[in-house]
Amino acid sequence: MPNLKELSKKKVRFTGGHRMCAGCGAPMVVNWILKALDDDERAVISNATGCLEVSTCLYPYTSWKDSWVHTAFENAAATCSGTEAAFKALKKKDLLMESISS
Amino acid sequence: MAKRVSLSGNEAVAFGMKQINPDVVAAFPITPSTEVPQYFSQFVANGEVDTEFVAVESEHSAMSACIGAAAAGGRVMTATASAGLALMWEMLYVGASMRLPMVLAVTNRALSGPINIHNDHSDTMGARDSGWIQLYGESAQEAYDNLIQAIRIGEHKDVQLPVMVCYDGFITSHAVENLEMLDDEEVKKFVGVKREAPFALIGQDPVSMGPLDLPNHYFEHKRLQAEAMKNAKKVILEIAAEYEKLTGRKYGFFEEYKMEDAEAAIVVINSTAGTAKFVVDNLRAQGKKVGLIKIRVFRPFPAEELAEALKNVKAVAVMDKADSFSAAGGPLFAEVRSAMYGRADGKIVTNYIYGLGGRDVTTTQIEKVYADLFNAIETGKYEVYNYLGVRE
Amino acid sequence: MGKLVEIRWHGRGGQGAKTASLLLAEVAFNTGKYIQGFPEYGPERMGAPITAYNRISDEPITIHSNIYEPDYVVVVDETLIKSVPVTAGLKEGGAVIVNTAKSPEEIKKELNFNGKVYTIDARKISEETLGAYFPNTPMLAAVVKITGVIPVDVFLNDIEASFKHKFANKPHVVPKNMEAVKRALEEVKGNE
Repeated sequence: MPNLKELSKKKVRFTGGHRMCAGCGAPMVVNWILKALDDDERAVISNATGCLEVSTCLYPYTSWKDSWVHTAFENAAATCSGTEAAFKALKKKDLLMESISS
Repeated sequence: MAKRVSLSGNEAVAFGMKQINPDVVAAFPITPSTEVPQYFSQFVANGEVDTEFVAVESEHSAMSACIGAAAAGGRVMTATASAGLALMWEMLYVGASMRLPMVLAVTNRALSGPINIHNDHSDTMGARDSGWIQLYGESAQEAYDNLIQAIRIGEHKDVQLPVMVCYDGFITSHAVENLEMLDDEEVKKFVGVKREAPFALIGQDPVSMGPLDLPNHYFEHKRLQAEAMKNAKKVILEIAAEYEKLTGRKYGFFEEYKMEDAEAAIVVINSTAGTAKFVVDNLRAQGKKVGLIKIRVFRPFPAEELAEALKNVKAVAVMDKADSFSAAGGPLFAEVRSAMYGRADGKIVTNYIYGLGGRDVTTTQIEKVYADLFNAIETGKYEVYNYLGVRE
Repeated sequence: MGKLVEIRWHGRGGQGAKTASLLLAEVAFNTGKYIQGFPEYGPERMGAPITAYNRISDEPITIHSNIYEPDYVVVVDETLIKSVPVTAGLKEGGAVIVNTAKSPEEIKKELNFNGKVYTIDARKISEETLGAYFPNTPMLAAVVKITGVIPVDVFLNDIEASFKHKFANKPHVVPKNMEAVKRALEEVKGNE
């Protein structure tokens, strides 16, 4: 397991400039969770309606460097289950884009 | 080569889905739609399709998963009815506004309450303003044909909208009848291998989808959504023309049956149109100038075209298999009368709410509607709002 | 327009009246007809009265209502005669076909019906040929013969092929089923 120093060198996937309050813990939590990914990996983040969601992706801006999706309040997991299924199906059919097929 | 088969509506739709071979099907069972995901999950289990089947815990989750899959760039299908569609409600609007092509087969069933498993159109009529394209079909054949065309319509680059393919619960979904199916290869070629997804969660570049959209942009996005629905009109006809070349079966916004010199016409949706055609044939044999229009495309609504088709009739009865409780007629009536205003004025236009909760619609009832219309033409006296086949 | 034949089936949930109506639709379909086969759905439990319908024609069928004035009525369970008005709307010149050991005369009296009555003891035939009570096969054969919706020889060929397909794993039951069919064709009897 990498130490804090090593983690801090990993790719930043969640940028500043969002509208979360100064001192709010949520952006930092997001940042550190996303460090669980290897730098060459791509994520799809499914976000339920809430403070984090409305404050980090106001059209036409987004703080998310990975793909991010929001649909409603109560269904982030259900939404993501569909995305995962599509990923599996497209992979099985060899239809994934080059950028993510690796 | 087309294959002559005898299938129920649900079987025809499930086999059509198999031929389309979508990437993802996320579904939850509900009568009378249950057979569609049931048959389809068997195809998945037997390895007859490449589809990922997501067994979810509710229709809300089914539609959420469909949205997640379509947002990822997959070709997505599902099926439901009645309360299942109602539970999807919130997500229907989200999917349409995200401009995600999906195909939802709806076996029309009465909406609770009181709970009732039989056919009327209260489920999809309630969802008419959710931003989905709505195609309706009279028979298993039309449900199958609409399903295959729906894939292409929704995925067209000028449209990018989800499509509901609606057919009558039990009457069409569970009755076995003759139809012609395309070969698997023909369907594969017609729908293409992969859907066009200009932006996708697992596309070339990362994207954010479903942002907070405040007053400075929301309106423009809704305006674009409305434009997509307008574009759909042209695309629906283009796809229909292509499908006709393949099958010989002609589709448009609506079907005109013996309308050339018709004085009295009815406008109707789904299986009742078939029963009404039988009545039209009998009345024509007696020399009565009657015709009918069967709506296939309810969203987008073909207002101008419909007014044009009705410009020579003297009286028209609009039949609604759903009440809107507006105290001013059913949903189809409101649309048709509004479409005629300023384009086909001076007609007698009446409304009949009929067949709610699966009340069987008989030839006798349809004959009464035509008789009422002729009586209205002769005497000038008529009721605008009528209920057909109900005990008062 | 080709002649449209409308048939109404009365049975009890679990007895296979719906399946029999679908089988009839299938054999008619196989001879090139336009067909409809559909049950009247409700929350049926085993043993509750159920109704199923067939339309068979040489022309496409568009009508989608239930059948109120059938050409033929088929009663799979004779106990229904007492509780269901099975002959309601039956066309003049139409016929009712009842699964019973009784004679057509007796049934005619019970039905209080003036038209044609045919009877077939599907239980006896089924038990003697198949060794159990499967009324569908003999009933189907009787209905084909009486209604004439398809020629009997065409029916025999088609049903044999269908049995061979259906019982591919136990071919020894095919001759037994064919015997049930042939006996039903011979034993259905009428009172006009």
